[in-house]
Amino acid sequence: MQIYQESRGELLRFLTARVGDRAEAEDLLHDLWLRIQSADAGPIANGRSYLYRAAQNLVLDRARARQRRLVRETAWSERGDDHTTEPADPRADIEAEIAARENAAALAAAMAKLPEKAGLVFRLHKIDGLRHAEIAARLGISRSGVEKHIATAMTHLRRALDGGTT
Amino acid sequence: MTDAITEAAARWHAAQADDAMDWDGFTVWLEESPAHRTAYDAVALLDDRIDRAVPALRDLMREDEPVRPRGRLRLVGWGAAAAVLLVGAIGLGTWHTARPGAAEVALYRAPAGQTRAVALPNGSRATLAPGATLRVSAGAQVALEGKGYFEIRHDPAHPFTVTAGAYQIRDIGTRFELVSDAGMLRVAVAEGTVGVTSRAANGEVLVSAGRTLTAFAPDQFAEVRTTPPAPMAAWRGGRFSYDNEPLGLVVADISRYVGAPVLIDGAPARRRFSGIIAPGSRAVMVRNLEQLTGLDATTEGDAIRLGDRTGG
Repeated sequence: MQIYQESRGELLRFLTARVGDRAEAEDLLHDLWLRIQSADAGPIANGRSYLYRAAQNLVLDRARARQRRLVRETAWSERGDDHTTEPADPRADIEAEIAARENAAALAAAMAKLPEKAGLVFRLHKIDGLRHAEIAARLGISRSGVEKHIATAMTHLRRALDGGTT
Repeated sequence: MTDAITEAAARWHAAQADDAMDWDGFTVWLEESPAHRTAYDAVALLDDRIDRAVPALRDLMREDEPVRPRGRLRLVGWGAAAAVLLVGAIGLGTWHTARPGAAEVALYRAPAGQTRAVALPNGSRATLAPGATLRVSAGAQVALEGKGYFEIRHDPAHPFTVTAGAYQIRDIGTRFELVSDAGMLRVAVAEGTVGVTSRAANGEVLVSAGRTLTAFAPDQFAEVRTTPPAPMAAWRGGRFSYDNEPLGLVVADISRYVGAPVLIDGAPARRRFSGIIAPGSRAVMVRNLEQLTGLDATTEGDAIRLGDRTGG
């Protein structure tokens, strides 16, 4: 993949800065390469942004997998392997359901306290699923204005939810 | 960690939705201080946590305030959309119920660009991906077109079955994501187990938590593999993330998301695709897909068709 070869150096530099560890960055870069190869894709004309997003997703996948492994290891070990027809432990389901609902309630409460404009932009984006450009057009502001409001909202949410399981 | 650093991290994070993202600038910013990386990690994980909570948040907010009319349905002049409308019309004509509030047939459709939460009989729930349609008829028979995520409350007396084209998916108490189009099917199971049958093949395949079944045609059964962490429900956060999915299902996702036809068939539709596609206009998403797959897009009336350069 030509674009990959061309961008390899800068991607490694980016991933090293992103995870703060050269060896892990090389490992991630290898994963990225495997991911691209298995994509069965033809030549990429302008895939630089794609490669960076894919790299970002790999980093996030790992962070998420780390979190999930802690939560799931116990629950899944009790469920047997692939051939079982046993339903999942209903208690684990209920606990997960309750945790998810509490998480949503905490987020909703924090979102309700956002500054007015930032809260509106954030809801339009996350809850109504509008894209930045659509929000910009609807509210008559620039795209960078939309990004600024979303960043303000995230900063407030981060402060409000600090100490949570972020 | 200061708010200023968190805010800068959040700005970089928000900017990534745009293809004009300054990745070099972001790299330099990350290199400036380990605190920048820590702040960015926190923002990315918080954003991910919010994305995963979006269906539940929608439910909560729906209870809080009546949903504003969105009026963003764009159905005119699209054959597939017309077909969906037709299904709606048939539903009203044929199965119209005399008892208000106890409808025996309900048709739910998520508009382009938006997901939709649906409460199913007996406390189960579905979240429809943009453009997906769910029909619930008498006896809680459920038929899905497109992509949906199901959270099923298991009731041995009333087993839950979803029909998707030539396939039937029987729940054994579970959460799973389901997408079907053009004879293809993908079922990713988050919890519990589902049984999958095909009209054109014998036997039932059981798919358990953490596994994904992919069927390329109703008469050829299908592989079951470990689910990669990313694709599961990533669409609910507005991203399009795929791992070894038939290109036909990817193209159908995009078509439904933008609310305008994008077509692919034959051998290219059965090719595997892995990668991430940023949400955008139809032209932008198709161009990205062209770049990632090496396929060529041509215009056919109001449709865009993806095909092989060699004409296949």
